[in-house]
Amino acid sequence: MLRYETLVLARTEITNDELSLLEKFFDSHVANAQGKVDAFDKWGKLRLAYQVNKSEYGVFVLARFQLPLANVGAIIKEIDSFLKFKCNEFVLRHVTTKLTSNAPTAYQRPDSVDVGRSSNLDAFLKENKVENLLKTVEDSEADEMED
Amino acid sequence: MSKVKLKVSSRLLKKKIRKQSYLGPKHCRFCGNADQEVLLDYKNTNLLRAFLTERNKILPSRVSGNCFFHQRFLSNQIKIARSVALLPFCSGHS
Repeated sequence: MLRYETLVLARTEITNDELSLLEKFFDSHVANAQGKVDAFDKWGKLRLAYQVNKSEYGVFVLARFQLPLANVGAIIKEIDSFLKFKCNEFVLRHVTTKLTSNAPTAYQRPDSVDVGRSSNLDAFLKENKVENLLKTVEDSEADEMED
Repeated sequence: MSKVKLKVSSRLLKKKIRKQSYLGPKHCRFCGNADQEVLLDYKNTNLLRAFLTERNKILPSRVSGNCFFHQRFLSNQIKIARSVALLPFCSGHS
């Protein structure tokens, strides 16, 4: 079995349906070739190093899979053509690379823009150590509960 | 008998001088260091940015001290990362 991975750069406007379409494609296509999908990681929104199609941000998706030795070239060509022609509305760039046999499953990746943002106000205040405000919020909540 | 002049290239001379100096010979940071070698990957942009100049050109091995094998491998990884907009081709894009 040979290990491969595909990194897909998509538009930020990508919908959940389109993401699940990608995931289903990798699952079905690799399974047909008697391979196995190891991971399908959604990195989230990232700031790009340069503008692609006039957008500064992009969504990255990484798929890692194993393929048997026979017909590896043809299968990877089909994956490339699927991303290039059928998904051209939301896929901007993609790259497929071969992994070495001793490559670990864990890997380093750039931080996404979304990390650290939460709608919860208390968590935000605790993270940034604004304790004065935190106390007032708790007090006001306690008062409301008493009432 | 005519005198035979031995030619020594300036590159080898510099290498010899460097070996004898207090700095010691150059060494590749990835050779024999499996922990670092595993991290060398096109997705690990934080590491790869250390091998770019401020104009985002690839640092020569003369400066970074990498061996031939790892310099070639690293520059290929940087070029892959550039193709998917993880690293810039040059400065002044935006």
